[in-house]
Amino acid sequence: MRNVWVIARREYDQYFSTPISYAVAFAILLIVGVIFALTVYGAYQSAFTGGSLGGGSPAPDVKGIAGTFTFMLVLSVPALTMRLISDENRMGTLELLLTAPVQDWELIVGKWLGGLLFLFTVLAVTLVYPVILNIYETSDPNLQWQVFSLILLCLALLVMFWNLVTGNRVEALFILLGIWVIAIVAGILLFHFAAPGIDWGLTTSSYLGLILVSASFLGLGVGISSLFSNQVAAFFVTLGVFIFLWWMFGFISQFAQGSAADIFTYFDMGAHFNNNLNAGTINLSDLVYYLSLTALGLFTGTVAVETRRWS
Amino acid sequence: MIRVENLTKDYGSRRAISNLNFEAEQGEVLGFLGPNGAGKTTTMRILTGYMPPTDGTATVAGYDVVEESLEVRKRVGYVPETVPLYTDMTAIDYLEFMADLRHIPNSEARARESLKMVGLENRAESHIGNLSKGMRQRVGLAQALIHQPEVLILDEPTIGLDPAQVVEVRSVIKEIGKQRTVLLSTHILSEAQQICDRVLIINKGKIVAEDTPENLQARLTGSERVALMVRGEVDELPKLLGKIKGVQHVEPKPDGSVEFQFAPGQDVRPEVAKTVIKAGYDLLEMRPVGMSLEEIFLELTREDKPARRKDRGER
Repeated sequence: MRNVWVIARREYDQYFSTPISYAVAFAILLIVGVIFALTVYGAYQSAFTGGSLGGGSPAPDVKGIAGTFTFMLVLSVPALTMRLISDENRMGTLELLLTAPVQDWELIVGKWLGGLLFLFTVLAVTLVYPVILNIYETSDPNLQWQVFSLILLCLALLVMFWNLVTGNRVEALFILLGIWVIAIVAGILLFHFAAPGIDWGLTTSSYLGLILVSASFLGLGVGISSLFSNQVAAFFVTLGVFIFLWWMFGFISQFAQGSAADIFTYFDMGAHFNNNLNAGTINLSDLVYYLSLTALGLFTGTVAVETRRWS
Repeated sequence: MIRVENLTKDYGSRRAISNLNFEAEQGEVLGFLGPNGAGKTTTMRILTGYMPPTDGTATVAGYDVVEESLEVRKRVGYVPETVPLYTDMTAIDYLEFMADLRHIPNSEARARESLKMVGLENRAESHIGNLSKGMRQRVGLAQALIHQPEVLILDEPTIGLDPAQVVEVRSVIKEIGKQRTVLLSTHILSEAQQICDRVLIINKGKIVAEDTPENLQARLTGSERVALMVRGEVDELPKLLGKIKGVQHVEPKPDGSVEFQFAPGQDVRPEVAKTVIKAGYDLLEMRPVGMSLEEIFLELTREDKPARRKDRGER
């Protein structure tokens, strides 16, 4: 298990020295930011036309942001995972790792975990939106709390940025996550102090969903990329599989009948997120679905690495 | 330390190595010589647990390379032919990563120690991508030494280095070879001659010779050769030498010297010297010419094997 962590840490550092991961992070944050701005703008306008805030007009929530995030994951995870094995192969370092006292599964799980930590970092940045929404939706009396949490946010981002620059990336991640936990707890307290505020139940469920979706996409991406020595092939096959899982199953299930429709619906990756987790319900079947997809990907990766040895 | 029995590896229908048998003891530097595609890298990859053999067994430090692969990998330091380096990491970070993978406590101190062993302590913070090829090679070596392995396996460790670096790396290997087992492959035969206690010559997946560099030379030459150098023209000298009893195969060389052979045990050199001086030549030099390892190598690995040396039948 220790090897998993050693590999994950190196992998996480690696993301900060490759331009493609910056491009991915930038694209995700830009699009999610735009959607957030539009959400708030829409709510703001309807507040003026439809009366007081929170009354009559739909209060903005995190659904739009979370949905956009998953959309971006479909497109960007293939770009993150495509190089995982092929780069090692090209640099000859695969031979190094396969002759080090490391089990094949530890290598694969380490790479997956490194990628997951990177996506957590991106995801953590987006937590700023629910907090801002909460401020937006909460009335005045607790404004000092809001200001407090905003300052906390800014501090977190500053510390994280500084640590990223100086190279203490794993520390940055932990500081960020730690401060976010405080922020969320503060947010939940605010929910009790200042109704209505944002629906933190829904927010928690949505973010849990995002974590699960990220984990399963990365697991599948790692698995598929370890089947290919060519990055471009790995990218397109991964993208194809994601598009199929996320959209095509749902599409097909509309035309299927009876139990076939149920089966297609169950395999529809998007449905588990959009209908349940991003709607505020956490079902065991959704957790099992995403975790088994992750396991399937990691298992494929391990077998692929073992197969490489025999060829 | 290393024991290989009937080791065979097939890549599809192509047999890379067939029925290799050899051993290496502790404190021995074993050289692996052979042309490209002879099966050197394949053998090393099997010994390091990178790939399993098709048939046969190999044990390293008492552990089977297939059944107890992890135990073997803990005890082996390996530098593949293309030195496996993360070019975007600094040398020290890279070595720390490798030390962490091998669960070495206080990994940074060990990483620095290892860098010092290969003489790179002042480049610890440099990105590996900015190091010269020789330095990279040495970082690779530092990686293989970081866990103080019982067995060190080096695939072409001096390839692409400048002469000064070659000397450095060789002396490092020689130093390590005093306590540990070193298996190294090389094209450069003088290198094998310099640093190996024993040499294995491998061709087309089979061992064609195995001995100390000196014995190999002696065994294959069968007779002693001497080069003779005189001032001025050689003209009549070959004829003159031919008359001396015991002198065989007189041959003028393009560099102005004359080479001849005599059977071991019948040293004709004093007689030759007297004759030459008596004939009025100024004798400048008389030196033994060994059959170089290069020649042995070519001889053993030739595609068509003419019976050029009379002792070929011995093998």
